[in-house]
Amino acid sequence: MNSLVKANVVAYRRRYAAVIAAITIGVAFLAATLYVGSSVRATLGASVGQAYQKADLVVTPDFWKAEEPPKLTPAQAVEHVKSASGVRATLAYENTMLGAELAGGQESVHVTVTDGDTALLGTGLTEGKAPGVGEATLNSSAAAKAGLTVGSTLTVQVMPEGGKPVTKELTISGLRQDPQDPSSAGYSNLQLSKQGAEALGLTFTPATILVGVEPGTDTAGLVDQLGAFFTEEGLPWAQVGTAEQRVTEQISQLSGGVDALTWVLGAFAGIALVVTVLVVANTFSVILAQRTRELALLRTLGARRGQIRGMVLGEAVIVGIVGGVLGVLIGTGVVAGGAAVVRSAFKLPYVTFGFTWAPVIVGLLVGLLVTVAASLRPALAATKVSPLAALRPSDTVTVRSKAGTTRVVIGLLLLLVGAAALIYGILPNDGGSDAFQTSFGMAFLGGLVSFIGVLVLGTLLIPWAVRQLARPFGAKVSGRLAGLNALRHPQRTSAIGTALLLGVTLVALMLVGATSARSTLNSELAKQYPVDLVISSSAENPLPASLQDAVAAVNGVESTAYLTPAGATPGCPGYGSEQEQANSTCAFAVAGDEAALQAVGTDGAKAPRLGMVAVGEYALQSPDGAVPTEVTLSDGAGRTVTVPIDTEAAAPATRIVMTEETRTKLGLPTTTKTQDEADGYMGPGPQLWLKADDTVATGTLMSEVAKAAGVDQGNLDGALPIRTIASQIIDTLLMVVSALLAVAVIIALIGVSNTLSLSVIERTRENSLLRALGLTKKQLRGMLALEAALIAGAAAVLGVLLGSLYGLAGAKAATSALGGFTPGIPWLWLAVVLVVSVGAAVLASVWPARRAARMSPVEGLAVE
Amino acid sequence: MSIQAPEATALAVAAQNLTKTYGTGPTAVTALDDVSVGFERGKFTAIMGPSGSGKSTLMHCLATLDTPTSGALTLGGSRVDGLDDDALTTLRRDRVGFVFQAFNLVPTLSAEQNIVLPLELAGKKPDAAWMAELVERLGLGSRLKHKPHELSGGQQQRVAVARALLPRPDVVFGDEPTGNLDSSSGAEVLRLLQRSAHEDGQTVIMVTHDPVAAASADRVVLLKDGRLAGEIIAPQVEQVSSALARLGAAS
Repeated sequence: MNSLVKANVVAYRRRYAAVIAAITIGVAFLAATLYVGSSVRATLGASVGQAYQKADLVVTPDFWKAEEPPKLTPAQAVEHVKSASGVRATLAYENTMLGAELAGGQESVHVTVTDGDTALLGTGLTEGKAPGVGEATLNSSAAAKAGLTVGSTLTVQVMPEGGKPVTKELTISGLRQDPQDPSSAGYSNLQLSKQGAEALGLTFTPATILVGVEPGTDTAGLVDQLGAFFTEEGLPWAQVGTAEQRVTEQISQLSGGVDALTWVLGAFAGIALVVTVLVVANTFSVILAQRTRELALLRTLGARRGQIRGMVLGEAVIVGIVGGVLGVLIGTGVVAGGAAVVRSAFKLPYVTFGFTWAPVIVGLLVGLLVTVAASLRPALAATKVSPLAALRPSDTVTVRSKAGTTRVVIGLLLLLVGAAALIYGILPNDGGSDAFQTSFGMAFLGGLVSFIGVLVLGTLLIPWAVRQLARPFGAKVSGRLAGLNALRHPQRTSAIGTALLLGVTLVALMLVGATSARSTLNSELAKQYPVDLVISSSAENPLPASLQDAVAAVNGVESTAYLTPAGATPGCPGYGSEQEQANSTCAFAVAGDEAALQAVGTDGAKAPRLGMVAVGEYALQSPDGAVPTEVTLSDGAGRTVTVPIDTEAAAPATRIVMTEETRTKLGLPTTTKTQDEADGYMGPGPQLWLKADDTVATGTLMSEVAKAAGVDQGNLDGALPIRTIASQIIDTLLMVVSALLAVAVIIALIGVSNTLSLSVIERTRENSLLRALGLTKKQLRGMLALEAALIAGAAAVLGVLLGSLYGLAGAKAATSALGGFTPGIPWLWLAVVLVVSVGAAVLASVWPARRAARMSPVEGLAVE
Repeated sequence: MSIQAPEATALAVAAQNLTKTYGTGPTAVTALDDVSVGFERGKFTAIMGPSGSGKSTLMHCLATLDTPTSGALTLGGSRVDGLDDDALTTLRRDRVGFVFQAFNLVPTLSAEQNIVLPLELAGKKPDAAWMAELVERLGLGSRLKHKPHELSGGQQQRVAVARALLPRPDVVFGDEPTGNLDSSSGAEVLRLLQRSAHEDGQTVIMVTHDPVAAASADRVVLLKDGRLAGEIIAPQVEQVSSALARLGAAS
């Protein structure tokens, strides 16, 4: 039987190739995920470990934790450690920061002050010697950057206690390796001796003592002995350990986030593997269905059912091992290569590929398990083949299978319960943080449960969707045949469609969810900040109206509006009596051209109507929390008017905004005074509002605008920075998640292609018959392409619809704390998902279709 | 040896010096060796010969399913050798009908859809009266909506015959059409082919190794080792059997 298993895998290797490809991708994803975790850990180890790499023991006394100064002085502590038996050398050090001048310009530098044998320092000397008084060593890349060499001088600023800053010159006595600790990255690193530091007026309290021990010393005993000593001396928190122990401790402190990353990536790998199971199971059942006669022949020749089952599982084991090995190799290669690229491209020498056996073992096991689990049902079905089947004509018969009643009931139940929970989750809640967590949790669980329901109902949904899609093509016989063929084996079509549906739904969910979250965030932001950027005037820059053109001309500015003060509430200094100023809030009004205001508002922000004003969220505070419907404004010369508030229009948080027409109508004055002018005027000066067209990076735009207006960047305010940061975060997340989900879609598309090519093999006779009866090659290819497009299209359309619903619901639940909800549908991207799914399926049909078309009718008809 | 020259216009199908070689060099096999043969319009002809005599190859070449290595072929009065695949496909669709041993119905289509399939592929409407008559004659009235797997072998083959006859092709080819049928269903199919030749003037060419089936034809063409080996006009079963036995013994 073993030889038969091997022979079968070899003979059917082309049919198994797609199964292996699917398993390979799934396992590669999993192995890569695990290796990312271990590599981040190894990288941390390499960077953290550098400091301790030359020491045997590390002691951290943590003197600062003592509430009152301990009897033991730091110097005594160091002395004690040094004199302990078995200790060869010690190096006590402390890290601090100083201001320094290396090459022009003042900068902050990391300083390591050492006392003892500097050979124990993690960063070894690359040139020169250890520093004495008036000397320092510098890390080599900082020296290269500043153009300093051994013998050059640099200056440091020291701030003695209670004294004035003092500038001291230091000579570079040597250069050291660059520290790889992430916390000192980007800083220059100076190293001083204790005496040198004291000469500069710095105090020295050793934070860490590195210990070198004599060969053959009982290290564990020394650790215990030193630990006991510090506890006795009133420093029970002092940490004593071997260098390896301390590195491991620090990594585990730092790597909590690594585990979370591994889990998140693992979830995506899990999705990819679920799709793999669907694809593999389907392919196995198709391959075995096509081998019915062969299996029956074996039965006729005396094979027992168990032997047939064993043979099929044996084939699955081989396929699983091959896929697993390839997957582990690829996954390992991708992460190892990625680490190498990052290491050299970003000059981060401590980026390390962390090889462990776990991903190899897990990857191989998962590959094997996934394949064997997926082949169990087909293997059982194969044992049901009766010996007689070998003798029957092999004409394939349309299988009319009905979805099991149990399956439908379970699916519907899951769908309904899930949908109910989802709807509960997106209903309005009281806005509390507990309520938010409950409703988001309900929405998430509901979505998950209902989607499982949908997948269970896939055997009904997918064929139904295929039938609907096929309808318009029924007019032509080749179109009708494509539709009928797509539905010929409803189980195959459903299984493969479900796999694609799973991937496409998740991608669409992310797209719609992220877009809706973004548009909700934008419209909520627009309520608080109806303007992208506001340029305020100051005493130094009165912001004359002529500047508007200069700002409007800045690349990336879509439109601008120029606003001038137009009175204020009587609560403002100079606009009401002293009593009014004491009792009511102060808000200044500004006015601008209506068309410009309309154009400059962020999405959803409107200009106030004629005769009305827009009031910012925090401009008016009424003691009872009631929302005011009108506001009284003073012209600053004793006249007041009461104006209704346009609640649909938005204004910056503390401002009142109106159009020029309204100002004229109300008879409010135009002020051109600017803030802080000599007469004590406290109100705003003229303002320039602008809207960004989002083609230029926010930082660049802000500095260009500030330059054009001749103001400091501090005079810019508005929604733009927060809007672009939020958009960037959402876009990045979306891109990463979509890329991760794309793996599942790719596996599903492999499944579509494989199922189609197997069907083509199965229908060789039939296709040849159609050719004999007058179907042209082109029509045959078109028919097969349409069949693939129908299956992929049905799954993709369902997936996009479902994913959009879930995306809207998810975004609604996630943003419920913001108050409002603005749905956003990325039509273009959804269309791209549809086109890619259908296009890839059509492309996948090209090869089998060409093969089918190339075969001459005679050859095909001769095939059994 | 030549039986009736291809120039004769009364011929539905004519082959001249048809040769078909498979493979090249020392392993080359000559399936047809310089065969010239004509088939009269409205006649039912059987092609017979021992296994490996080239009878199937001859039929495939005549039906344009296979391309001869050399030689000329005329179908319905026009030359068809040297046409490209699309032209041959269209030609088959419009001018050739097939009845296979294994029925070869499209399993996803009903009996009726199978019958009209070649016309649909050609984008033509079936002649309703002719369709009705065929259905009546073949006794398929109650079976039109059934899928092939719901029909008996005899019924499936009658559907195949109807499919071949409906477009009124220049020639209907039968490849062992009774090979998978019991004797009464087989006899029924042969009667139908005979009747279409005699009553409707349909040219029918059938490959068979069954002397009983061959005896229902107007003429039997004998083949051996890829060459013509004689013919029998108005054959009887015994005549055909003994001719076959002679051919077999000679090898």
